[in-house]
Amino acid sequence: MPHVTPLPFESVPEDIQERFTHYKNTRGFTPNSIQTMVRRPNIVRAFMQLNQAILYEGTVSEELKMLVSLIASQASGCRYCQAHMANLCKIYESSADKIGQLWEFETSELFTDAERAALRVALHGAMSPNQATQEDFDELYKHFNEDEAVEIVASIALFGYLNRWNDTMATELEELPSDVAQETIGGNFGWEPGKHA
Amino acid sequence: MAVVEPLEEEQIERELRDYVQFFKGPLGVVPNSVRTMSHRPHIAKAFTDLNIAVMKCEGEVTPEFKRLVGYITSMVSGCRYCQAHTILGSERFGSSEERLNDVANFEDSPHFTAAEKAALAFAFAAAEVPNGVTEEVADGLRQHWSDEDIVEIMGVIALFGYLNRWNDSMGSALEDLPVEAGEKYLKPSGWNVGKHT
Repeated sequence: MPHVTPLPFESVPEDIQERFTHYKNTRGFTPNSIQTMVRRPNIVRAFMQLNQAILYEGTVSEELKMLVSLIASQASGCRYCQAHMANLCKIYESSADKIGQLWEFETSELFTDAERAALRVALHGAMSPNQATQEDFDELYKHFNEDEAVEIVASIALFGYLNRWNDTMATELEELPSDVAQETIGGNFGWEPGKHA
Repeated sequence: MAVVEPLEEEQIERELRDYVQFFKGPLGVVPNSVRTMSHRPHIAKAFTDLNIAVMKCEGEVTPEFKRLVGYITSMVSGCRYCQAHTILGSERFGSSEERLNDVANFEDSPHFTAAEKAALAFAFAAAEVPNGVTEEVADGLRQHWSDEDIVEIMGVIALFGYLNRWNDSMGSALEDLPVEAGEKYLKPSGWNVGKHT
């Protein structure tokens, strides 16, 4: 059961209603996470901007940033975020096989060396205590510049915010990401909705 | 050594540079974390907005206490950069020597109220990997705080989910003021600058 109740759409400020409708149109639903965050409207406004600046701007592909965010969520254990990012990986055209094999990115043939370098930083950067090493970043810099490293680490950090938010709040998972998670990471990775059901 | 070099203040584009002066209030410096984020100006801008929105106190949670919540999550996740920054921030917002010395052992301290202990226990569990928040921990919180206050407390915990990953992955170098605060209050808990030189 979620620890804070999501606000009904009609009690949300108008400018934020517009953003919520945008999410609904692009993803098929409005996430429950931001419907609890909106009890402090300026927090959700700033969060949505940060989300936009990190995941949807810059020169690192959206697909890779979604994969980075998914593996960070797999490392931390937040199944709500795992389902959401499996859905976004699919929207940005990762195949179901690639999403399913993400946890085995080191050995799977579906990943390039550049993707592996970014995913290694994400996996290690999401561990507690932090396991990202100088060698991980040396490898990253063979494929990406400093500005792109900022995009990649910002994606990992953004999910530091979201993994804590959603796994603490026990945010209730919506139907669409739940279905996509079942078909992509339900087998190999053993995803289940857990407390987010 | 830092993974990405922070920009000098004069290298940051003017509008953003003026904007991030905000941090000199709570921290006395524009932190290296934000100067590194500034390689992607929209990320630094949105992060600054999120920081301002999360740290704004509209209910019963005080600025001094928000930094102590941030400290506890940084202690659990192991990010020494964030530990020093939150102790400094709390001191600058008027915390006492007793509270700063005791916060790591808040459960046994007479300097925290029952409501504060419930919030700090919630922060501790929320920063664990996997997430340690149980119904019991959440109930303890709800006995003392409104839904809106819980969203503010959760906002701080999540914000430091972002920052703990950012700074401990990037190896952000600590500035002089937070080092002094760390040495003054955190030595007994074994704090040192670690990789943040």
